[in-house]
Amino acid sequence: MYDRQREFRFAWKCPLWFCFAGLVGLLVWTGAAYAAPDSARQQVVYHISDGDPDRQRSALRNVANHLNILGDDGADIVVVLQGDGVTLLLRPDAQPQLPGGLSANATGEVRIGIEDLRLRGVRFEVCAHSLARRGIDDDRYLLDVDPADLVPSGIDELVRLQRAGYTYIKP
Amino acid sequence: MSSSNELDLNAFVDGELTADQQAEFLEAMRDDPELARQACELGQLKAQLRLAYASPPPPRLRGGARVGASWRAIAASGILLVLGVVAGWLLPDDVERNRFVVLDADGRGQTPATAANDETRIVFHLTNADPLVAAELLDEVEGMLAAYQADHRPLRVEVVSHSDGLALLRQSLTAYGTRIHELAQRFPNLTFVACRNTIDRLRVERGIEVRLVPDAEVIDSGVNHVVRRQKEGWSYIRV
Repeated sequence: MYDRQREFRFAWKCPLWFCFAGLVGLLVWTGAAYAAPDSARQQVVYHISDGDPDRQRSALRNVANHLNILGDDGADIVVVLQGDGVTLLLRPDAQPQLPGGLSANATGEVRIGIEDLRLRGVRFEVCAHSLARRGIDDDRYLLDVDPADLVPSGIDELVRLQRAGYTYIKP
Repeated sequence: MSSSNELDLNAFVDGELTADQQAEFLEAMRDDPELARQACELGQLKAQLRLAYASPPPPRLRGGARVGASWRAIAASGILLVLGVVAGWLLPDDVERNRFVVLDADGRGQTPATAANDETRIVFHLTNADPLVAAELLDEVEGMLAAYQADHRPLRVEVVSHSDGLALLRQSLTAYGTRIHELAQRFPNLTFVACRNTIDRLRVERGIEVRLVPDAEVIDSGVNHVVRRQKEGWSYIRV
């Protein structure tokens, strides 16, 4: 009579099965480690290049709503201000420096919105090239911008962040 | 009965005699009733044997061996399934992340490359008709191309003009026809692309026959093109 138990034990003694089991375990473990950072934290870069204060306010609302959904720790959000978008962080005393049609917008409700987002972990980066092009050559016109956040080229920064895995949004 | 007769008897019953021998044996049986009786008995025995083993039972298989084999098959297929699921879970991410596309000399190639390729690829999506915006875009693009060229870093740039942004590439509207031509001549890694959907829409809705600057290439859909470029790993910038 055939012994079923013996066959069962034999299967588990075979070293090949241990190799298989080990390989499966390793794949599951690396898979979990690999997938974790993606699900944990979103990386998003917002691009603002519009000088219109209403559109800038609406963009800030987009960012705030985004954080409301994910939670302040759930997203790594960078706002890159480029082109006319740099006016978002210009204090009112920058106004005389600006070419016609542009306004220095870091005032009132917008300023409160920016400060609130900064407290929630949002980083605002400003394109130095765009500032110079609009006659702004001094960071005293800027609303508390860390020198590290004054990037030489906003376009380069947008490319760099996307290559680092950030999702691009143009509100 | 002689031994030769006994041999003949068995051979007869087994049907192994030649026709001549058979005739000879039949004649012998007629002369020898005892031989005939023996042949008859032997024939009956043989028939009984043949009947009894007409369909011999198949050799009994070891039931346990089958059980063992199926257990191993189930275990192996289970592990293969897990491996497949895990591999499927891991691979797409990897493939998506590392997939880039290398352009041909005309800037339109589709050959897949790997992440080892460190070429920077940027697609600018221009939808704004404002000449100031277009001027700043051209300055930015020129600055980048020159900087990358000076550093010997590989770079590909496409400017996709779509909707109102098509004005940049229209002979009758653009303020920068000469500049575009100079840039295209100076940088073979720069391509100006016009959206055919926009061109067709202008003809149908407003009766405008669009004439493009000579350096513009035409693709079917600007939106589709920028989406494809992003999937291919290009950085995207909306202007």
